[in-house]
Amino acid sequence: CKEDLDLKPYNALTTEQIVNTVEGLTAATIGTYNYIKDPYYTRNYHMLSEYASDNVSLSGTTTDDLFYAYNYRHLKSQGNTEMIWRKGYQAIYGTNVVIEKATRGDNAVMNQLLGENYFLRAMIHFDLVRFFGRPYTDDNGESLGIVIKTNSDVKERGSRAKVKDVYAVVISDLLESIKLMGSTKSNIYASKEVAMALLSRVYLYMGDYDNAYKYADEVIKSNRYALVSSANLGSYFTVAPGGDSKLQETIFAIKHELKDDRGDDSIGSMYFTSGGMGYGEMYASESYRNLLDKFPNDLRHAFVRPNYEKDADGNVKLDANGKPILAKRNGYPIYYVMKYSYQDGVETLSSPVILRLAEMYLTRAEVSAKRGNTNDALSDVNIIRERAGLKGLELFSASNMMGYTNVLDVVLDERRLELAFEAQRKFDVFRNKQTMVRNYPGTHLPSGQVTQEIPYTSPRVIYYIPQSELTANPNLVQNPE
Amino acid sequence: QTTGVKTGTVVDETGLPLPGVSVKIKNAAGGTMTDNDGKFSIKTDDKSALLFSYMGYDTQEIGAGAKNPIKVSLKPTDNLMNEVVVVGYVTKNKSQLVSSVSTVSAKKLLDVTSNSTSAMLQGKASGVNVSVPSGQPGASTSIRIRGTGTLSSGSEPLMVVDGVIGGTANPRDIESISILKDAAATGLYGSRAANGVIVITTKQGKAGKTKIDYSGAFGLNTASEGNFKVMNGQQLRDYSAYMYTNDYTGKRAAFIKELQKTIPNPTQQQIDDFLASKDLALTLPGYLAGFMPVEPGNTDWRDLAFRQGITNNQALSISGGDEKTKFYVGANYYDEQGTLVNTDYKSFNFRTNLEHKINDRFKVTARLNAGFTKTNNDPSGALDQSYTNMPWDNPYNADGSPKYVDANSQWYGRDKSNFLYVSQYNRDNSRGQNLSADVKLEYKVTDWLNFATSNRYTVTNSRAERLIDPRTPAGKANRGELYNGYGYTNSFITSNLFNAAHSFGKHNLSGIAGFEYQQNYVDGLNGTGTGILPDLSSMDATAIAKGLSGNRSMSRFVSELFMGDYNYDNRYFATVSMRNDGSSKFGANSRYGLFYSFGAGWNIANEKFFESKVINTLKLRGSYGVTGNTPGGDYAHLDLYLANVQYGGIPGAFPRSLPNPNLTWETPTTINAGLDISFFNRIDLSIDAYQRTNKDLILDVPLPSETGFYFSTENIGSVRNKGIDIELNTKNLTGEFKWNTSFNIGINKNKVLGLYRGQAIERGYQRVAVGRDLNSWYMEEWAGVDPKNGDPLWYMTKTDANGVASRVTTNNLDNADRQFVGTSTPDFIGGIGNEFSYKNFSLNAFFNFVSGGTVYNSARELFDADGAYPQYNSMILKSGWSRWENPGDIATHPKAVANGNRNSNKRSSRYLEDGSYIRLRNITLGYTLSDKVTEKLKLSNVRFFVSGDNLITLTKFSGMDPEVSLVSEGNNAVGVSGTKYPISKKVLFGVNVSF
Repeated sequence: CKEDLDLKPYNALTTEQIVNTVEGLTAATIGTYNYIKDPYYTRNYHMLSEYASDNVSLSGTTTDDLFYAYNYRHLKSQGNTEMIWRKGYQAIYGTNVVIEKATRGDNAVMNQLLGENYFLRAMIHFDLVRFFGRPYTDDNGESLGIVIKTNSDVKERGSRAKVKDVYAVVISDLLESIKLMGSTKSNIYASKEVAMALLSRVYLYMGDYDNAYKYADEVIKSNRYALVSSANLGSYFTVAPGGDSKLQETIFAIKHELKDDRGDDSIGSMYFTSGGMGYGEMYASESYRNLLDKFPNDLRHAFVRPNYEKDADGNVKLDANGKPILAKRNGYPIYYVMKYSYQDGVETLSSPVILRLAEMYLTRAEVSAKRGNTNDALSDVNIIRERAGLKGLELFSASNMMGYTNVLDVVLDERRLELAFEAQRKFDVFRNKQTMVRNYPGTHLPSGQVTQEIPYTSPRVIYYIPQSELTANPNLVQNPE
Repeated sequence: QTTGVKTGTVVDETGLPLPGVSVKIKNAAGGTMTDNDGKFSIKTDDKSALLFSYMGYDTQEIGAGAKNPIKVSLKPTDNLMNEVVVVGYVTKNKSQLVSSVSTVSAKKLLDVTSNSTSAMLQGKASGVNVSVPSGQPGASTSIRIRGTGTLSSGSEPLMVVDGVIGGTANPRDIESISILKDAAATGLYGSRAANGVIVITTKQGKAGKTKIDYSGAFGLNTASEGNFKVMNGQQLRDYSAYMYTNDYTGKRAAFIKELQKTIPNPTQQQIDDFLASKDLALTLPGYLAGFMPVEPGNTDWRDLAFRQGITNNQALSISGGDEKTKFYVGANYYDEQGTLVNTDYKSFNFRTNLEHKINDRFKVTARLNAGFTKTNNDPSGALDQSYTNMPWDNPYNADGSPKYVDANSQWYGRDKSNFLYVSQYNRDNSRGQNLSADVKLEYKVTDWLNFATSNRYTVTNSRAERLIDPRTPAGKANRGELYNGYGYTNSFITSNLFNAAHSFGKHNLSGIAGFEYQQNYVDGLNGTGTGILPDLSSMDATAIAKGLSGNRSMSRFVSELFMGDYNYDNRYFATVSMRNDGSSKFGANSRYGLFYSFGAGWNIANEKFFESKVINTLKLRGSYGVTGNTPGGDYAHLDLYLANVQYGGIPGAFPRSLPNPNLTWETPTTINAGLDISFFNRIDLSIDAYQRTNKDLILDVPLPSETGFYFSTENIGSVRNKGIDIELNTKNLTGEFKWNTSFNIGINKNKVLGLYRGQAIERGYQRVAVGRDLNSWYMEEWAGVDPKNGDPLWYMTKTDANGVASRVTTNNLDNADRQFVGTSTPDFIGGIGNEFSYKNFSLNAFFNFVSGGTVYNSARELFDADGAYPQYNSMILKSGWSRWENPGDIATHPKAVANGNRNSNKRSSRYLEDGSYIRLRNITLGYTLSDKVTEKLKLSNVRFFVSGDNLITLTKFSGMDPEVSLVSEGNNAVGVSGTKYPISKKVLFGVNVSF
């Protein structure tokens, strides 16, 4: 009877079975990618960053805790911060097991695997420290960040390290991963240039502009990537990443298969609805639209789709002046955001792009602007603008500043235009010590008020450490109220 | 005086011979017993009197001078102490019990019309808390016996049907239910007995005339609304206009102030131009038009979502047999149309119980139960929408057809849905089948030793279907979607027991020893396809395979068990039991566990020194024992990478659990002391005091996320339940007008004694902490409304410069600290039933009650939200509540503010309410035809009745219903009341006929 009681599951392997073979470690690494694909991570990463920006406007209230990221009324027990903290550290554990068990050496497959795990560990630490620790540029990383976890010891009860110490780990992991990885894996996995691109962003956020430039430049010059053509820009986000094709713009995206379609719970669901599927409650803000509308030819209008009222036959209704009548939700005009819908024709399916080549140009431009290299900065900005279908006088030059007095403002506005809705704006504003100005309609405004301004010094620039984590680990310290 | 041999026969109430009846001569020594044919012969004189006594029957006295041969017919006794109780593996006379057992007879069970045995148990036994948290036909229930003693493991009692672990029985096939509460009774179930055991015995045929019983009931169901009501069109418009007027006034003033920075004295035109540039309406009516109609519509969505349902229950049973073979065949049809649109539940159940004596030594019993259910769920979201949808929206087109509504429609309600339209096309249904077959073979080895092998194989199958039709809004996006889920389980159990009984003078010994083996298996497959033509619902008609998932799992148990019973002269009783359980669910290092119990009883009333005319029964009982609780998951002890994930289409695995080779059962230790007493043959009282301490809890110890795991499963921590169960049955009037009362109450106190490193565990609105009740609310403490400005207030702890802490109020929820604010555990629960009968009429009324304990009314986060969800309907304030409007108002509710007032609707003690209630679960008026009429009709019994379920509920609770789930699911604590499917009030007419 003894053996009778020794039953093994049908859908799981023991740790021993996993960690002792390349196949097992590969499966575990796939498991970590799955963690960051998990809505707990990807969806909340998006909402905690983008919804706190001035690109978006919410047309009503919601029971989803995304509301408190959007209106800055953070809660100490806020579901989305709990989820991303939880899923982030689970993924980090996954990487630590592989890093501890894999042996580096001559085996290229094993080295790549190891490199991917270093990359993922760095990326997740970096993501979390930006939500829960103050911007590095505030105080050179002297304030409290997150717990650094670089081992698989489950008994350890860490405490929050300084932001700068977290960045140090992120950088050392990324440098390690660059050494270990090759350049052959498709853009849904980490590879050498993916790590370099992320490293460039890390340096940019910490204000190490030389290194930010260096790595952005290396990625651009690696010739692995190319900007998608103007003609294909509008459909860029509907094409699934991955595959063997060379010279894609996407450096790294989190691939979602049809099986991963989250329907109403997808990122795209909040931005767009054809009517039945999805919510379509979060729109491009008036402030973003004003910036975009400065240049009517800008192809990036493709990502902001006004929704018009239609009659029974499906024709757009026109007002007395023959202009189409904008549809409204709760009095707010509907401008759908089209970066997370219709991958492979499926309405709520998308593979969020984490890193793409355009950002590298804009990072280079930002550093150039900060160094005072106006021409270099504008030339990189113009690469992005030309791709957006702008030409001639629509392009910047030292003599054609189009009302701007400051090159950095040109770069940051271009960055906002290009990378809007890609979870970057909030960090771009606060790391540059600017105020988030949200003087446009939306339910972020308290009743009776017309603007909301969050200075970069506000304690609400970052989120509370999830209450449940403070209970589980008394070494953690809460962020200021 | 004639002395001679008197002979005769003793039969039971049905005319069957009764063997073993004691026949004694009154006031004289000597006596005899009836033989297998009920016959006796005794030597006496005509003047003496003969006493015939038999367990469970009234003793009868007959003059020996009666006509020879004497025919005696014994009547079953009404005295509860002589009731025969099935205690799992053995059957005992209640007077011999040393353990705490509640019994519910078929008659008591079958008052409420339901197809759920556990729902029907509600309130009927002390210390047994049954909750029926949803009124949906076929909805599941939860049962807690004497409180909850565990955190991460199962808390439901073990079900035992016809002596074998597991199984199901239709309520109408049930003969009796015994609820085993203390260790002396449950000890034999070892590692599965932690939460008590419910023993169900199904009906068996009796030798003699074949009996046919028909019972039918038919009636109407209506949804109970409780105290919860949402606003009508005008009320909602007034409420909304107040909020949006304040919003507009403030915005307009702010813009004008901004304008005045450049133009100190703007003209009306300049103001209008500026407001237009800011996209703000120029006038208040223009602004309000964006949010509400001028003339509010008044759709009653609740009325559209609910209807009068129908309940139809038809049952037929045929039973009978002869001395060798007995049979029972039962068929039951139950059909309940839910009060919510689209919902209904149908079930068929068939049972056959056969018993055959092959010869004097061999007996074979076979039982077959087959059940088929079909459930329709609402696929349209009608329940939620009946509360959230706005009365201003009209669900119908001009031609009366339901309006198609999607996100792009002109519609005030937040979710832009019209369930009436979706109802026409979507489906959500499931079916289930269960089949269980028992074969039991008994062999009489000697007069005192018996061997029985009981074997049961059970199979269940289920299928769930959800169709999103391509014509519906959601279906349009992907051309429709079809989901199918198939599930299968099987279970095999064999139980092999030696049963011995022997008497030496006044010493009676009995015992069992045996071996059990059980295997449980489950698998399932779920698939989703998209792209399906209208009206179709077969998987092969879908265009794209979207998702596939499944499950598969197995567990085993092996057990050896032993029990010994000793009884001296029906005065002193002792019992001891032991069970050695092994389970695949335990870690490799601790796979086997030994469980044991002792019990003793003293029947004082049987002592010679005890002579009382008042007290008929007086018995003391005591027991002590250790049982167990197994982990919920099948593989919780293994360190596993779960491989149910993929990335980019490549299979992967993630670390799911930490290893724990020492994981084992948790050990509840129960001490029970009981007293049974009866007075005047009219009052029966049982009192039990108990303490159950669960040690080595199977605890999912929450880990900080940095470890990579949510929890590790450990045997650590302790929870104690102690309390008193009281059952009182009285015969208040026994004449022509009869009145009986049964009353029970259970008082239970719960306390967490230990946790991993004393570390508290967060469970949503509750926190599990050492020294407190398991279900303690832990949240921000509400401090009311600021009379100055209508702000919500909470309490916070402020520490001054000297380090002295004090409680002050704050209007910032983030500053508020969390506190323990009561528990959801009731102070006591119970039931009271009254039976009246007069001539052919009978009237039964049964109430159940729950007192103390608070319920978190989470529906109020949505509907009593001070404007946080202005595109949902809102609840009408309960009487006694008030809304702040002007400075100085002392109000219970903060100022209503469009889009919310400072997170006033988030978790706080504001929404905790008294959860006490008393409910008239059932009232039945019956009329039985007189024997004369019945005889003329050639029937043996005809009864008509009208029955009402849940007609009255008395409670202060402001929500739909204070009855809440006892089950904590995921992060949700018990005691939370959200938007629920309301329970039904039913009125049924029925008839029982026996042939």
